[in-house]
Amino acid sequence: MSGFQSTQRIDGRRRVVITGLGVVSPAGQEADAFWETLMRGRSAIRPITYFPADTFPVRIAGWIPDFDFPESIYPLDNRYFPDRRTQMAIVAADQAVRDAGLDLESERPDRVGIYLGSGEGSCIDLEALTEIVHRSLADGELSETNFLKHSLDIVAAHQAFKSEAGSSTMYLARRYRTQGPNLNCLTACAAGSQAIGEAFRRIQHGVTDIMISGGTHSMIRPLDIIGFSLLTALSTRNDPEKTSRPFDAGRDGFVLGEGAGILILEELGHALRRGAPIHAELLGYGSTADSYRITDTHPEARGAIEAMRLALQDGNTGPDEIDYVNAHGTSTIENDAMETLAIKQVFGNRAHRIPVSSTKSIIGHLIAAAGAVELIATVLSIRHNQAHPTINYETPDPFCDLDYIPNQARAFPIDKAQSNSFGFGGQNVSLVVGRYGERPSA
Amino acid sequence: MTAANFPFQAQQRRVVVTGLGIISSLGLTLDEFWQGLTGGQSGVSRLSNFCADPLPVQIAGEVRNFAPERFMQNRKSIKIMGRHIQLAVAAARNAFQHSGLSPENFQPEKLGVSFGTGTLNAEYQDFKDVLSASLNQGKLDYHIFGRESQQQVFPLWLLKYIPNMAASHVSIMLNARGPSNTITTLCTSSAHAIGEGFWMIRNGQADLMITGGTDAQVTPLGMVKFYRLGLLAEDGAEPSQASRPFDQGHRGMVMGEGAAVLVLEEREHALRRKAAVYAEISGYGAAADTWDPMEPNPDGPSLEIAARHALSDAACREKEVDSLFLAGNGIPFMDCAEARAMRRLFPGAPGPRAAAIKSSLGHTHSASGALASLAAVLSLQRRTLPPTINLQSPIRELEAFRFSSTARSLEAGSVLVNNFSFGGNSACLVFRAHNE
Repeated sequence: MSGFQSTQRIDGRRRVVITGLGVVSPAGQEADAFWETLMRGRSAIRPITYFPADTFPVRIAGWIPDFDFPESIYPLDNRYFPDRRTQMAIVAADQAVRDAGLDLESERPDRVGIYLGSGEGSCIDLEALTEIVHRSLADGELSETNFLKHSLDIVAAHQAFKSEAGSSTMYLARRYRTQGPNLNCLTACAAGSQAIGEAFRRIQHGVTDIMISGGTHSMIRPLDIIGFSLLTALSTRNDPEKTSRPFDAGRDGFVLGEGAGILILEELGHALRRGAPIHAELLGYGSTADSYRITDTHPEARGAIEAMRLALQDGNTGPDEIDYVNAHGTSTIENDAMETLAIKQVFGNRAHRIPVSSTKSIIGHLIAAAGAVELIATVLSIRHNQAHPTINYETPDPFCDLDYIPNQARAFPIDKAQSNSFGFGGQNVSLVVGRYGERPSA
Repeated sequence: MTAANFPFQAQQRRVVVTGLGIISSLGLTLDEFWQGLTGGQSGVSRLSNFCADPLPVQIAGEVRNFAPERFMQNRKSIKIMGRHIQLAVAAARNAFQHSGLSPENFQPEKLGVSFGTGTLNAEYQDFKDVLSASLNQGKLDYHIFGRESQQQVFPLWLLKYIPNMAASHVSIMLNARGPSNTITTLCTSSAHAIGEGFWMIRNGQADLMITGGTDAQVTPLGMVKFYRLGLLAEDGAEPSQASRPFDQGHRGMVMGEGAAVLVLEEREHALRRKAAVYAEISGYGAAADTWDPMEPNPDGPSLEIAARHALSDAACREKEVDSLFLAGNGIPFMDCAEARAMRRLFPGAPGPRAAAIKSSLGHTHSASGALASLAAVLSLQRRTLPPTINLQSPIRELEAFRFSSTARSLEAGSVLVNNFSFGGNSACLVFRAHNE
């Protein structure tokens, strides 16, 4: 490249920028609407009404009653009509591609890839399963033989196939005619961030020029609610607007949400050549495992600290350069205390002066999509030099003693920010993102 | 792709395979697996893990005599592991032992895990009590279900199936605190996982990666799903002859299950600790298909792209490929698409030597790339290419390729391993014999 722009980092890796954003969330179904809801600090959690949930331990969620999938994309009677989570990924990806001004037909298809952290569709249709049980019992008993016999008539195999965790990416490849690497990772609640981190590597190392990346998730279904609830991860407070309260002393579990966040990652030189809008530069990525326990995070936040430090090092960013942290902040007792500890370990004395907020306070926990949607919030924070609040913050907890931007959005200069995602099983991912400037900051 | 596309790899590190572990229908140890595979045995037999009487297809490549408690220190943890997790943990434990690694000779922060797994394999046994109790005039009563499920579902049910749990259990067992990833891309999952792990070491994010994959869908719902998709070969008189990739008599795939794990290690790290090196992993390429969410383009362009990228990544020319491990699973439209792609990649006659090990193992889905990679590494180390059984007359596109019904000797060249998923997603890996 000529001119002042250097498209390489000091270490020789290529620079990667974010040129497109797409979001389907309980707080809005495109980036601007999403941002406005976040800034207003209004809860997007609602009572579950699409199945009779009144005896369920959890009756609220960050679900999207008015999500509408255009029939122009797939008519309802098409045998490949996608499931809800894939629909959300397609709608968000369409927005991101449009936002980036990408004309994918003019790109070399094997230099464009897809990397998602997609959750699963319905692993099993509860009503179908019940029908199999019913017919088996009508046959005398619920034996394996009877179950098999009736499942042959009832299991909707195409449905099952379409809901595999890996199928959303295939729909996107088909839609955008991409022939580059096509991957899906499912590292629990860290999946969306992890997908973006791995997509980032692919461009950095020259494998692709463009990645369509992010996460999508929709598991607000009876069986999944029971599953998470039995793990005692969900709050049973059931007050829609007040339940998700990260870092507050009264927090007692997270609220499930659904949605998709898709970003266009692009090699800087490629973006400059086509005059693309550059929202921010992706600087660093770190991934670690706690290697501690399946259900508990490490008490000293070992893996979380290491992931945050790796992301900073990877982005050649000093801890004193971070202006804002978009926390994983789930609203569980353990996570929020652990994450606070990690932030204090990573930033030292400065930790108390870095504003931190949790997007989950407003939209709930989007599981595999969480990290992607939250990175979009972080990118928008840099663009606007404003950060959304952590809502429902009422009573300080001695274990959570940072500045969580309580209840009111705040304007302050944000050039570099860090976004965390931690998952079941001890998966830790952290991303560092910065305002795009011509000189490489990393 | 030219080298100029990989500017950062000027400083790249080399990666070798220093440990292998497998739990398969041909056996629970490396030697059993290898003897069975090279001896032309089949792991496919009549189903024994459950009574499949109502099913039109009653054969599979099942893992037999697997006792998880033999592999787990913490026996309580077995309860929260679905079968696929149990297989993965056992294979990882064997691979780690095989690698000769011990706490003194690695840094936990530089040991990562990259696994390929399948979907939430929930089984009806998990819910039969609550669903029986929730019936009201033949329909699901949500009111009863909401109440009863809190009492009648195993509280840690979800943990048995969450896809990243295999990697998490392994990271806890081995004190692996480095990068951790779990790929879920159907039949390409574990090939992707191995390729990703390889690149993590090459690019300096880890020195050691526990990579591979696992799958256990030989279950009532798993069998029903694939049968209803019309993908399963019908039972013949002899189960061992049902899986016949690339044979003109191919009629579908045979379900299989298993897990395989490869310990990948930065070459200098391995040499410093005087580890036994079984092969070098030298290339990885991946590509997508744009044809149809469930079927590949009949010409298999994605596989050709993935193979070309993997060979370019390995700086290996087509003529330097000694042998091919084909993805071939016996489903005609998959076999033909792969065959056409390979024909374009290797147009000359005679074509390369080739093996399709799903003929012996059936299709182990998200584990299949790991099983094939492990077989490729053993082939290079033991200089023996396993046979392709049940291949009487190959489909036209592959007539020039050199298959064999018995094991053959293998030169010290490079081996290309193909992985090809129902939706046409592709991932290829290149391994080569390790030279000091």
